[in-house]
Amino acid sequence: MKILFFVGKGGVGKSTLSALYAVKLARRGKKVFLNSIDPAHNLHDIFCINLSSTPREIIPGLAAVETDLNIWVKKYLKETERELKSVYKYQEAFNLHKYFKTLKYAPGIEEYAVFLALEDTVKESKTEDIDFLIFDTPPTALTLKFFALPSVSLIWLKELKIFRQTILDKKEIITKIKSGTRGGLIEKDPVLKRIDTLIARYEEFFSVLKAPHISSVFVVLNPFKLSRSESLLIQQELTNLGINIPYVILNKYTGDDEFMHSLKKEFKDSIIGIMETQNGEIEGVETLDSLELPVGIEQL
Amino acid sequence: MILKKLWEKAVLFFKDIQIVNRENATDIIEFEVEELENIFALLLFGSFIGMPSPPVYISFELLPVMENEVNLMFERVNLSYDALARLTNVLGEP
Ligand SMILES: Nc1ncnc2c1ncn2[C@@H]1O[C@H](COP(=O)(O)OP(=O)(O)OP(=O)(O)O)[C@@H](O)[C@H]1O
Ligand SMILES: [Mg+2]
Repeated sequence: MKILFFVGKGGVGKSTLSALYAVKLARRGKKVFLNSIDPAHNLHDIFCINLSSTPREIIPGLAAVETDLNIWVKKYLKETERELKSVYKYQEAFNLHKYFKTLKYAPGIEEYAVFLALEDTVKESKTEDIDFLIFDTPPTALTLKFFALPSVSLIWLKELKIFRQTILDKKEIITKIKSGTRGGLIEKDPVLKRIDTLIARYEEFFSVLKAPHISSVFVVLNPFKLSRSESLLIQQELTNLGINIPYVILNKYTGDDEFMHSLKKEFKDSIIGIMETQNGEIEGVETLDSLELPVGIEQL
Repeated sequence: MILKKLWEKAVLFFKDIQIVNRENATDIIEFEVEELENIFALLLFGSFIGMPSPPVYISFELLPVMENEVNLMFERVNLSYDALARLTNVLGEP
């Protein structure tokens, strides 16, 4: 399975291009799942049909959804609150309910919802033998936070693990001195176990994001200054995370060779595709069928 | 004979000292562990009292398995333990 992420500044054509690739790949006989995780969905406008969190077939081989991130936030908070309530029944100082009421606005929760939604979709798509899983992404800031989430989490978890191990080592010494036997605390510690589980989970997801034969980022931009500088920011952030950008699509191209020239220099390691400005609205499967894929990125 | 008794006494004496030292040493480590556990909990759940913390979702993943530490943390907050007094207790008078 291949996973494609269409990223870029607002309005550059992420949704249009992800829909175009989805349709074209399905027409070539691939099994495609198109998922909009942008809270301001517009896939339904492009296909001119209603979409929801339940997959809907658009053409044979292509199903699409518009993921509701709020549902994921709610579901996550509800489950966590329930689990914690059962553990901390007697801890009245712990004003859980009040805390949870404001938690949906806490930093990190939004990208965590994106993470949960994606993790779930990836898992589902694997079991359903999807060939191409295509994501139409939210605005750049949130998308970058999402891409950074596994590595930020791993930094914290690894520090916490070392800390926890230090505590357990010392506890082990105490047990040994007092009773003369080993306590096996390190093997039994539930906290350390859970930290390890989490590390494994984020590492697995991160390795999927970083694997060039699985994940491909498509940076979409228009021949304008602002969308170019945002693309460079995306490039910088993703490079820092060790995620590369195999494809750049210059959309709404009008023949500005100078722009193309500097773009080639800035994205030396990426394949640059060109999509010209089309006449009229790009909507409906028929219109998408009539278009060609961006020049230079016809094969994936 | 006298020498042997003296020797036994000496052995006993040193044994006692060893036990005393050993108990003192475990006290110190125990104290340290308790402090570390408290810091560990604070590190994770400091956001409850306004400290910089790891992402909330990491804290929440660990919270269910950290009942002891969290209770310890609240105990500390509630009783506002005099940590310095406990430290001098453990270390003994200079
Ligand atoms: N190559 C093109 N030629 C002409 N119009 C285009 C082209 N690509 C996209 N558009 C138009 O530009 C507008 C924005 O495109 P689209 O909605 O795909 O962008 P987006 O990046 O998904 O935006 P948002 O960030 O708001 O989700 C749409 O009206 C679309 O029809
Ligand atoms: Mg869009």
